[in-house]
Amino acid sequence: MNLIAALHRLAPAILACLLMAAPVAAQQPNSVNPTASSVKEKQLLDALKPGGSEILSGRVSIPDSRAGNLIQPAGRDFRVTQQDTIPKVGAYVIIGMIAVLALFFMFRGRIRIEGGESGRTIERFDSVGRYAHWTAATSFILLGLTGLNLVFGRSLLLPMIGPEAFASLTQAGKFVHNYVSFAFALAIALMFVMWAKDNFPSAIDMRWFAQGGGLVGSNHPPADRFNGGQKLIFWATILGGFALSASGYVLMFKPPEIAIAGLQLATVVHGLVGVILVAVIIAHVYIGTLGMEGAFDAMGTGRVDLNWAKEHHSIWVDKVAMKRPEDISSARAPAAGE
Amino acid sequence: MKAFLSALLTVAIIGFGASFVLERFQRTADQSYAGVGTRVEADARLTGTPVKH
Repeated sequence: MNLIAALHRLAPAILACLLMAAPVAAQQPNSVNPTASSVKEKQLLDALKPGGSEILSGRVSIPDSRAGNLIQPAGRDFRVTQQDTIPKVGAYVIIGMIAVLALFFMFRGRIRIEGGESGRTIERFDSVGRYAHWTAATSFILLGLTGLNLVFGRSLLLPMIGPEAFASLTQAGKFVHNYVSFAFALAIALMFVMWAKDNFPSAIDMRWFAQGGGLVGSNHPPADRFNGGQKLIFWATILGGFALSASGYVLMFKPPEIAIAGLQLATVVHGLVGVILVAVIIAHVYIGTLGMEGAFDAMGTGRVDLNWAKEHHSIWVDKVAMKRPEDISSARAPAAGE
Repeated sequence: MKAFLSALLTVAIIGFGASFVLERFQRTADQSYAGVGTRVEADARLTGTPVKH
């Protein structure tokens, strides 16, 4: 009887022990399905190894199925390209271009109008052309500055202004970059429509390049409305602008049809073309302002001095004199917009 | 000068216009997929461990 009484007293404790043991039993290896497809740790570990090439993805309930990618080994190469290669290429290209231009200015100086200003002008660009140019220029300056911040800001600006200011500036810059891009794309399209016909390569351009484009020495090779160098800058701007716009809108809207590898390719194209185009435009700005006397008037007032036009675009001046002599003034005309 | 100022105005107008259109686009997308997946509400008060400097 004593034994039965003792069991009665211990019954609640025994029951409690059995209940606590139940979840532990459920975790024992016997209850695990060894062939379950959701657990393949070896596959996970193999994919994590350097050089692994297998993409591991699962299923997600959100519309963007790309979010289901757990491991994409190519992302490691992409990260190196984005964080290391593009900034290096950008630094070499941009600093190299500035150095070349500085050396050129030191040795060649400002290219003057050899015959001096004639006092007569010729219409170089109408108001629509200048409007398209300045729309592309102002938007590109904003896009370039905010884009360069994404490439170099972390290493150059962040240590100077601190994380809070850098975060605010970069976020604002990202919005400006996205919103202003539409103006740039429209301006590029407008410039293409207006000026493509005058920018196709010709034999005259080959002779222009062969003679150094008038940049070396005092010889001015003949050129039509646009010389070989201007055509290079035009096509770099048009094709580069198209590549930047296309890759930029892929990154902005992320179409579901484009896989992660496509987004990474768009990021690399956007970064590389961006830094190269910045360097090209630095050269364009140099030759249009500091580097050549009288060149800025073409986009400033729309009219250039006749002697400047004869020296740099002699074939074009002859054509205008024959077809539209009214575009050549007999005396200096007031600047457009004055 | 007129061409330059017109260009500046165009960039500003297109920029502000794009900001309104894209924000509306984002809001529409948010509403379309409301309740799907994990999404943090815009006015949610998030708390966490303070960053130690």
